[in-house]
Parts: sequence; C-alpha cells; structure tokens
Amino acid sequence: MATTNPSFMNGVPELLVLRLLRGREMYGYEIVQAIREETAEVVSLGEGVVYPVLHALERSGAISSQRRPVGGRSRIYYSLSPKGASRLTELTELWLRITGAVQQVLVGSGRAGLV
Amino acid sequence: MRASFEPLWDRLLEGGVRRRPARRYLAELRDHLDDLIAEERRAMNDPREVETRALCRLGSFEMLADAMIERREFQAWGRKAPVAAYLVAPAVALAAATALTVVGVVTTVEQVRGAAGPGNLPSWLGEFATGMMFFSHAILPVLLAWALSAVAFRNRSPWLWPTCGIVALASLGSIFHPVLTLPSATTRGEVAVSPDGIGAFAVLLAMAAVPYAALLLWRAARERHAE
Repeated sequence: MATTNPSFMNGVPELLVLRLLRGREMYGYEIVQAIREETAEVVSLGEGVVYPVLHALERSGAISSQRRPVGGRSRIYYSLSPKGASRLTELTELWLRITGAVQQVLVGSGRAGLV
Repeated sequence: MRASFEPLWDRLLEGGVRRRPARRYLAELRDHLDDLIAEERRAMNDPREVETRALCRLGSFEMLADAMIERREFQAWGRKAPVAAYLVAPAVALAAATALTVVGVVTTVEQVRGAAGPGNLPSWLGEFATGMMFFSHAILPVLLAWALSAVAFRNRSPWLWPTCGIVALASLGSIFHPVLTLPSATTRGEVAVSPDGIGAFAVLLAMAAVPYAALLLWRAARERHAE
C-alpha cells in the first residue's frame, strides 16, 4: 500500500469524507475504496484510520450514522448533515485558497527559483 | 484464523480512549476486515495470505491505535483531566453526600421533635442519627473509593491519581466526622465535626485501598503470566 506523508494530510481525510458523503450515504469500507479510486491511490491510508475521522465528524454533528442490516450483516451507514454541508463548503474554500497559494509559490512567481 | 483485536483494545484503553468509542471502533474494524478478506478472496489471492494482506491494508495496530488516541474527544476524563476526575470530583461528591446526609438527619430530627414535642424524642432517633453519621464518614468514603477504583481499573488509568483520590477520600472521611447531639427538653441540638485519630484513618484507608491494590496486583500478575 502506498503511504502518504502524514504532515501533509492534516484535514484532508475530513475533507474527502465530507465530499464523498455529499453525493450519497456510504459505509466505512465503501468510503475508503472511493477515496482510493477517486484519488488514483495518491491519497492512501491504513484503511482503518478512517473510522476515528468518521466518529469525530459524527460527534461534531457534521455527519450522522444509521445501522442497517445488509446481506445478513449489520453495517453502519454515514450521511452528510446540513452542518456537515456547511463545513464542507468552508473546508473546500480553505483548501482551494491554500493549494492556490502553494501552487503560486512553487510555479507562479519564480522569484526564489524554487522549482 | 480470525485476527485478534485484543492487543488493540488494550492499547486503546491504556491510551485513555473511553470504552464505548473503543468498542465501536473495534466492531467497525472487524467488519472492515471481513470486507477486505472477501475482496482479497475475490481477487483469487493465495488463501494462506488473504488475511495477512487484509490486515496489512487495514493498518498496523500501532497506527490504528494512534489515530484514535490522538483525538481528544474520545479520551476518558481520567486521561484528559485526571486530577479533576480522580481527586476533585470524588472529594466534592463526598462533601456533598455528607452535607446532604447531615441535612437529612437534622430535618428528620426537627420533624420528629415537632410531632413528639421537646424532651419526648423516641429512642430510635438517637440510633438513627448515629447510624447515618457513621454511614457518612465511614461507609460513604469507602464506597466512593471502591467506585473510583473500579473506574480507574476498567479504564487502565495510571495508578497515581486514583491512589491520591483514595487517600483523599479516607482523609476527608476521618477528618470530617460529623457528630450530632440531639436536642433535649432544656438544650438545643447541635452538629459538630470531630476528627478521628490516626488509627481510624488507617482502618478507613485500608478498607478503601485494598480492593484497588488487589486489582492492580492481579493485573500485573496476569501480564507477567502472558509474557
């Protein structure tokens, strides 16, 4: 499994989880597979670490969960709450601002000859 | 072979994670592992390596534990604020319960006195008052210490602050020994505080601390045996 530098990952799992849950409700395994597929495995974590993220988001009211029997098993499905939708908007704007600024430093000005 | 999550459970509790979120975390990890194993089987991987590969994808126990432990919202109060949880809260609880007991006894005495008249207090009232005072300064601290011990032991809390809490409860119980003097026909009743001697403190401390010490010794022996 690819590993990702954790120091660059602060807040990223939250953002991705909220974005994925905007479309539909999902359970943990589905969320992890969706992150792997949609980021072409660039963002790839130990799969189990998504649960503390989900539980913390649920505790903050950004998502809600519901236990449901599926195929003889019980699964916990997560869905985005209105509070989570606002949080997603905030985080997305913040992320775009930061990545835009970093991009500008890396390739934009060329002042320091960083690249 | 089904992987055991027992080491992860132990590590979460030792890291201060509350039992409820830890239990839920493990339940979801088990479900996730089942899904990974099913996926690996569908991919026709070597059946002997299926579980190993699935566990590898799930993440190391160290990584999984750290992901939960570093989130303060899942920490037990005994870890977030051990002084408040194991020292201040039990002391406040003992003070409040003692005050309530004294108020309850005084109210009862006043009620009975109002009905029976001054100087005609029934004989059971003295035994009742003495019994309740004994309960508040000798039984209540021990019960609180046992409850504290159970919580600290279940949460795998380091022994320091629970021990301080037990000593504090025994000290408070032996210092604030309320003594009630019932009113008579000519005198008013009164409530006084009469600290016990060092002997009574030692007995109270022993009763309060022995179960916790026994539990810690038992765990240490079990861990030595497991090694």
